[in-house]
Amino acid sequence: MDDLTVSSPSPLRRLSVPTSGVAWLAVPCLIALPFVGISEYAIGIFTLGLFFAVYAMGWDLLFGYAGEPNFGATFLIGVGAYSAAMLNSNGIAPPWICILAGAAMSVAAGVLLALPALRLRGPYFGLVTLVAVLILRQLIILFSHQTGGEIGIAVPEVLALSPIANYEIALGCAIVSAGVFIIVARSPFGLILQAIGQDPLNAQAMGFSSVKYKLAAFCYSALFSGLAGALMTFYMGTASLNIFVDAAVGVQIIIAAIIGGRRTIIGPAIGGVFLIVLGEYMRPFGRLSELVVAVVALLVLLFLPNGLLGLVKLKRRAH
Amino acid sequence: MLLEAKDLRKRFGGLHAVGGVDLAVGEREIVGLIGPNGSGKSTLLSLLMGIHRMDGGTIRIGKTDITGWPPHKIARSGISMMFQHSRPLLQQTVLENVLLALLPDRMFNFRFSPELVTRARGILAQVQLAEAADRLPGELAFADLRRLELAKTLAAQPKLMLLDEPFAGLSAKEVREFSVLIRAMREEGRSVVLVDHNVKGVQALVDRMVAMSSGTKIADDRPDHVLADEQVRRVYLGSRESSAAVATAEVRSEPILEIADLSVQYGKATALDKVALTAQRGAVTAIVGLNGAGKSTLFHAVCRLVQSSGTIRFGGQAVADRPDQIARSGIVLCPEKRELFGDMTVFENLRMGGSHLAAPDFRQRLDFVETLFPRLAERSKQNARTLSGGEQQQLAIGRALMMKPKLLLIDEPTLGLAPVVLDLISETIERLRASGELSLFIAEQNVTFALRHANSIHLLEQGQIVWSGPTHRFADEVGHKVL
Amino acid sequence: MLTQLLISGFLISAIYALATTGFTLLYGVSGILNLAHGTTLATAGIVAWYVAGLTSFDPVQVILAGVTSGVVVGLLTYALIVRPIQRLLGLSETDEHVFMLVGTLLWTIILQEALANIFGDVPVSVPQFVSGVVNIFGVRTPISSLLVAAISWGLLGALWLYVGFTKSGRSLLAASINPRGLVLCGFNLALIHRVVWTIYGLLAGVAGVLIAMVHGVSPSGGLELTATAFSIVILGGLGSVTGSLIAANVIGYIETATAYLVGPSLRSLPSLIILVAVLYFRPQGLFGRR
Repeated sequence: MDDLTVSSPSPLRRLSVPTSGVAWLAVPCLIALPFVGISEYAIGIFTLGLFFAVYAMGWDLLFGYAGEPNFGATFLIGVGAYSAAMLNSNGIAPPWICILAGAAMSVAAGVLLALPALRLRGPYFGLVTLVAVLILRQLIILFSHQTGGEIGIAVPEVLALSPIANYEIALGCAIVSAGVFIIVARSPFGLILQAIGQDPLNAQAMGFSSVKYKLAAFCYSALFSGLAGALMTFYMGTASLNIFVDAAVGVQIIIAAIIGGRRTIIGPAIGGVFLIVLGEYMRPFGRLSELVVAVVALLVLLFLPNGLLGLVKLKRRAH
Repeated sequence: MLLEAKDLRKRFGGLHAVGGVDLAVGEREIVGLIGPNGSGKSTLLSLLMGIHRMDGGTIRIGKTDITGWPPHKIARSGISMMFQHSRPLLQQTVLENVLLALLPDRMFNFRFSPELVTRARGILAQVQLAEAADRLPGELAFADLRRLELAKTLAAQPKLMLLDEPFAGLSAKEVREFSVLIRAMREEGRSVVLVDHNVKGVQALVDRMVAMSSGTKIADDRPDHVLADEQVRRVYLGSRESSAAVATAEVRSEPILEIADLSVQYGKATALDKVALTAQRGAVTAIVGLNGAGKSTLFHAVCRLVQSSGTIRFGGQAVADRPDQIARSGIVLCPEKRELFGDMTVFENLRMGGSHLAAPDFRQRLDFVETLFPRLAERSKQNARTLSGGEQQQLAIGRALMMKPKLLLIDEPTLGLAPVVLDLISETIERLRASGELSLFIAEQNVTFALRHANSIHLLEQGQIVWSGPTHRFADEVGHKVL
Repeated sequence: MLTQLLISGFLISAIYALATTGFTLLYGVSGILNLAHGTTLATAGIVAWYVAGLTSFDPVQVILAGVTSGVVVGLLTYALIVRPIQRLLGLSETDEHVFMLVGTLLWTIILQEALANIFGDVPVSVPQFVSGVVNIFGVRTPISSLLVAAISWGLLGALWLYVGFTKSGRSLLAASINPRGLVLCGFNLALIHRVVWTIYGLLAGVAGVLIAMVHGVSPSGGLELTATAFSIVILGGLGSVTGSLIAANVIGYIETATAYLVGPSLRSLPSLIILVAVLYFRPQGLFGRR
């Protein structure tokens, strides 16, 4: 084996799929995408896909690295989305302030969600996160005067009118999130996080106090999930339960991450866009579409458990 | 003294895993911690590392009192531990695994400094893994994985290293290479506490030996003194006098169990290596060897509880494929962990064993077992988990006998039992032999016990049969290895 | 008011008890949390409704149809989702848990959409088996509801007899305590798992029909049923059948009281909060072991 490591900038080149070259090429392509003559409708789908990609990456940091199965991604997203929407609909603050406040609220929600994670293991924690979503739903219904209840809450202002501008905003959010997640995952922090996720006792015996790392991982995940949630609220013009606070959406996020490939950050992002595009493509088939998407996801789960990027990784290793 | 631990205590439920142990380790000293399975060695190490909360006692390292500290603080105070079963991060290279151990406990640290990488390479060179730095742990041989663990332990520059079973699963040659590494650490000024079952292996390596039994320290001295100590010999090796008294005759009958070429792999570790042996019908066969030699694995392979290659014939026929079929065909295992139904009563446990019998047969069989173990009849309505260790062992054997075995495999029948129960088990084995209806195959680390009952003996060392023969020749030919 | 509350609480609790017993039995014996549980109930209910509409209404046929579909769905879940995931190589324990939860959730979506495509996504009810009301302490109670409670407790009684007094029933109990010990006693674990899934399907089938009769069911209402079953099982302690029977009553009464006193739309909120408190302070549940 030739010794490339000395010259390579990071010794952690294997930590994620080594696609940095492809990634640098992909960024300008993605920025240029809306200008190559695709329909406004298609641009809209990709915009949604990019938000979804951020959610899936946030989930991957928690599960793939910290080992915490979060079935309540929409708890974090929902808090961000509703905080922003409520601030704006009451005319308290302009959009950008609302969005930042939404992200901040989501971090607070992340800390709240991290508390049980420090006490409970695996499946029990998964249940708490699932229940967290159900409780948030109930609370939103309970305070329907402020939150719009089951109907949802309209956001009067918009960030941008043109689909292209909205797309670029979503893309910016996705690129920044991906950048931060990748840096975090490949850094010493990410390495320690993985060690804690795999064997907390062993990691502690190596001198790492697991609490602060886990807490930080929840904060990173919540920050970008909340940010994307708040941005998406302004894009959609409304915050509603079935989009932002739904256990089923949380499951879709997990499926996106698994399809793309766990523990790769970029994989879940691809999976997120793929799932939204597939769902849209199947839309003419009505209810049958959801059935087909679920079957496809199940087949991937059973026959490609490491996801699409997992497949690439295996191929590379074979060489 | 580098480390001074006083009166350490740890209870798990009703069990005193560690009951008031003192342990002192000097500068540049290698201390070997020995004792049978379940004597509390590993628990003691975990207490030192802070992994289990202590029920009592104090620990000082140098002048610092570290009693009750969490593990990550203890790790930063100069103690590091190599776990018996620790897994490296599989998606990271060997180098990255060592880098991990070198990292400071800081959250806002997003870059690996080149200086750390150099240090990691240095440590890898020290354990002779330099060439493997850029490979993934999954590509390493088992011994190299242990080297990686050692490298991680070294990374923290510890004053004291706690090694839990560093030699488990290694070949004799690898054990020697590892011993050299451990000695080199002493030369660097570190101290080492190592736990091992392989008493002979550590004897030459350690400066001092501490022997434990049932959670207490029974000897603490130079290795040769400890190994000569009468109490140590009794609990760990079995006492000498009784071994001389018995010599069971060899049985010449057709074989009931024939094993050839049997190999078992646990991941990269070879647990059994081309084992061949036979057990005679109507006889008591024993397989002896140190803990970790592969005795339980052999039994599990016979019962198809683990994947194996090779052939196993029972009464001239190839054995079935599924463990439940094997159990019903007459090979019944009474496992080391007993595997009782804890929340069921004694009677219900026996009834599960006799599930496949018709009602009159069942009654008769139950009488047989209850005559053999009158205690079980008395405790009939009590939950199995509330029984004492000796009673649980009786129930485990009783439940296995309810299956009407033709060949009964008993894994460590005497492990952790009081002398009085041991006598009862002895008596049981003799009565079963006298009944003539079944053959027995026992796995024992207590060689004396095996010598007392077996017609023939197989000696297992690191997954290989190194000696087979009638009992009366055992003491003369290989006795020096184990007695 | 109080008697009203007590009586309707009792009726709801009886169904809840029946509807969660299979779920908790399954977890106890095979360690699987079947998130498709609610949809399995809904499937049984919807098939029963369909059969009830086909024939001149015959309660026996209707229940049989529900039970059959419950058993079929149960065995399909085992064969198509659970076994394949257990056979996957290279999954860590946490990975497998997450895959199992995600797999059963996907199965939920598949079942739900298939039902919606075949029968339409509308709430349906199985007609009452008997009509008429009786007056209990001044509360007018439908006889049919009493029958539902009787069937529920009767079936639970039968299950109790089966587990306590038959060889195969006892082996289920033994498998939940120590599967390895059971193999050593000569039992085929794979067979036991198939038996458990069959019993599960049977219980879910009957429960589904009864729920369809009392509340009505719809394809997309399955997840909500799963959530309720979940709260009950966690509260009672995962795998503890006795615990989940008690918890079914606790949740049944609390939900009824909330619905009467606060408002029907918030009926599940208090139980969710109790659930989180239990998970946080006593994750093994009120009656769970370990």
